[in-house]
Amino acid sequence: MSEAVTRVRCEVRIHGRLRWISHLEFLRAFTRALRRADIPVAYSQGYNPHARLSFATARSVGMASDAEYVDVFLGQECTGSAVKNQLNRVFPAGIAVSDCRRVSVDGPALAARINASRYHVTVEGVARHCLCGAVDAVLDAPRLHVTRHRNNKPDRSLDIRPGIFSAAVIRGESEQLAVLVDLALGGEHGVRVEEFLGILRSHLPETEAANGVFLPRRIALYHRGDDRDVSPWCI
Amino acid sequence: MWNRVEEVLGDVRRPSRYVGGEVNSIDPGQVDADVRFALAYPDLYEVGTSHLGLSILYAVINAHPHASAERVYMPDLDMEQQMRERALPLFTLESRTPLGDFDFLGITLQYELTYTNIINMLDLAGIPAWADDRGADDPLVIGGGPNALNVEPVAPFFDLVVLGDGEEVVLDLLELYRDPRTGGDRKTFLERSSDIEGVYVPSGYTLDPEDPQAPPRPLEGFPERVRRRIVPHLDDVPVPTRPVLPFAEAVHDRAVVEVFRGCTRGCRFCMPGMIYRPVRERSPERVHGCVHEILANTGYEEISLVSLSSSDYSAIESVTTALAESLGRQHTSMSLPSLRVDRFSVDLANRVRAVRNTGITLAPEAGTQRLRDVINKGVTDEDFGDAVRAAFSAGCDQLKLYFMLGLPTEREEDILGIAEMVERARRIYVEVGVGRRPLKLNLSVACFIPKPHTPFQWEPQLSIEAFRDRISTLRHALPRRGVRLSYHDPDSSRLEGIFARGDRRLAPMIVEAHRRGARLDGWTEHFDPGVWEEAEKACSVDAAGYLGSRDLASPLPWDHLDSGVSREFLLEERARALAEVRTPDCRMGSCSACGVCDPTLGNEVVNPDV
Ligand code: SF4
Repeated sequence: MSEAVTRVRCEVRIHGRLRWISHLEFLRAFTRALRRADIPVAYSQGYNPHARLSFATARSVGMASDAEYVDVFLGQECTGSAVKNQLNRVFPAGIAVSDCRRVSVDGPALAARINASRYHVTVEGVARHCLCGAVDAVLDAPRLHVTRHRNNKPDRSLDIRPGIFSAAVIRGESEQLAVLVDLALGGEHGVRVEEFLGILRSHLPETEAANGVFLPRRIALYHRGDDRDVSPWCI
Repeated sequence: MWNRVEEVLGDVRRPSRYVGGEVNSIDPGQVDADVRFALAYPDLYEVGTSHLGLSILYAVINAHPHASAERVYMPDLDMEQQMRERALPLFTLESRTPLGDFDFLGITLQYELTYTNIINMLDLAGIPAWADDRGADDPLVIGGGPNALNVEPVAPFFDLVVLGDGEEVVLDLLELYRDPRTGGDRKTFLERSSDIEGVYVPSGYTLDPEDPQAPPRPLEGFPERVRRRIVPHLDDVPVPTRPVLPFAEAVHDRAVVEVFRGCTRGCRFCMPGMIYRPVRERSPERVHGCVHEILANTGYEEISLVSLSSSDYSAIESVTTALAESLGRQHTSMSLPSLRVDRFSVDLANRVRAVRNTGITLAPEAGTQRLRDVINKGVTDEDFGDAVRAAFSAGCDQLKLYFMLGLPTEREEDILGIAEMVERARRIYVEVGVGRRPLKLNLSVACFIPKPHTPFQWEPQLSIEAFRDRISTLRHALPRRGVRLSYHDPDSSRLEGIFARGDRRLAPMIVEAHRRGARLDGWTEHFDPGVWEEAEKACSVDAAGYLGSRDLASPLPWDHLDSGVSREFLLEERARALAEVRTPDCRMGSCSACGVCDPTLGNEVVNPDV
């Protein structure tokens, strides 16, 4: 059961009350779900064998997501749909595999290729024209500086404008206002959605900035290339 | 309520501790039952979720067609602050229902230093701390767990207290509550519940102001003494094979199966060894089945076979051998906590360990044979030498040793004896020649706390100064390098000692300390002896009286709480201790007449030939 013969890629949704679990807690919950579901996971060799999984990227605590990706290396042939069904039987409400497909066992790791992320941010307590104004102002700014706190190191000021690929105000289901935003993930220009929202808030009139409630949800991860975007299924 | 909780969660550390939704927790849609229980562990989530007792009750109550149980833990300080600022009442994880809306609130009494947490949780829930102040709309607050046998310092906070095994009592209480003749009225219910074996109703007893050291006297209709409830056969009670799987990492992040309850080794300082008698073993078939079920239901990577002394389980060899084989294939390891100090136990631990063997923990408790005979810890110098040799030969290079200071009759040579045992372990390590890296030796020393219902319940506890003196004697006798000495904070041992043998007069001090900010006292970073000192003064508590020796002829504040072990036996054991005479384990043949067994109840050992 140790040599990996195949790899499946799972697209996972985390929503409802479980958006409050941390990335590490999700990792452990996923590992144990694989064990409960009796999936023939490949194990690493060595003193302390562990299940061979790889995660595309971490998610911040409190954010719901439709697009977490986990690669699972298997010691036996298995179809993606079998893995999906077995896992969904054992996950608690709030975690679910929405899609699962086989990918090449020795292809690249997702973490190495994913460099962009899309968020759907529902907005409450802000008038549409104010929100549009703020989004335009953010996109028009040549530079947007944020301060990052680092453990045991001095704070660092950083321009996040290059990491904001696009942003647009939309009207979602039930007429709710929302912002759709694409941000760089990881690397030199990586931007956290909280940082983007902080900047956006600072471009709103005072009362709206104070009352506005922003609820981000990750809706996609992808590779942003020079000429085209690549979905995780094609990496 | 649902949304009000969501709003707080972004502002607190590790919010997963407050959201529920874990695997095997009940669905909020399921809680619409006639009788609703909230089960509280008065400490943080990561401690509380590891507790087996509440996990059993959760399973038992939720299996009942007309009842449901939900969980609640002590919120961390940042969460508490948010809740107070926003006037958010303490709620259960499953359905986010405020605790005040439940029929019953069960709180486990595990440890003296959680007592302010109990007050804090009641306060956060808006439930009056004193049972007398509660009305028809408040839940009935039930206590249970090991400290129920000396619940007096917190007794006024409870409507009723369950002594002993809880899994049957809770069903009896449920029936009584659902009975329209008794369930409707709080007072009638409490009176009638005192007829159930194992139920103590504190309001049915009053202290005699002339003689406050004596146990409280029963009012009319309440029994003189309340007998502990004992489940005679462990195979008859349910095993929680679908335990809630916490998201946040728990202190014991593993599956547990209880292999037996009770212990008759007879260590004279040990309260669990006295109050859980007799030994009741679970059958190997049942253990085996439960291990597989629980792993399939949780996905845990480790299974722990728990009891007060797991190498004493009479089927331990066959069970572990059979399990080791199947678990190895599933990348699952096995652990046996609370190991006896001998070669058999260490060899066993080595064999079952599926992962690398790095460290081992042993608790000889005292430094000389003489003192170990006094406390009836059946460990000889030879046992100790064999045990460490076996561990080192198996490649172990970390050793942790537990000792107590301040045991009855302790002299300087006993303290020096600890250093000699450390020296001996180091010599054996060199001899065995694992020798690549130096041995890591951790020496952990606690202050002996005389506990109620034990043969040492009349003995004095060391003062803080005397404890520090003895620690320094020990430190000087230890080698300069290669041993890490750590010891329990003497201030918290002192407080634990006051409560351990306390009475009802301490209750106001707990409320006062809480008012002054005490909570999470079991955590060194939160424990503040200054606050307790103030509370002690404000309530004129005679601490020295609680910590000193007790008169053998006088009654004790817990005498009305009957563990089943007789006073005569405890006195006899005390005399034997002072005479340095050991008492053998009654499982091995001769009954020492402690008083627990009767024609329907006795030690139940599945493999009597061992
Ligand atoms: S009554 Fe005898 S056999 Fe039973 S637990 Fe006590 S000493 Fe052991």
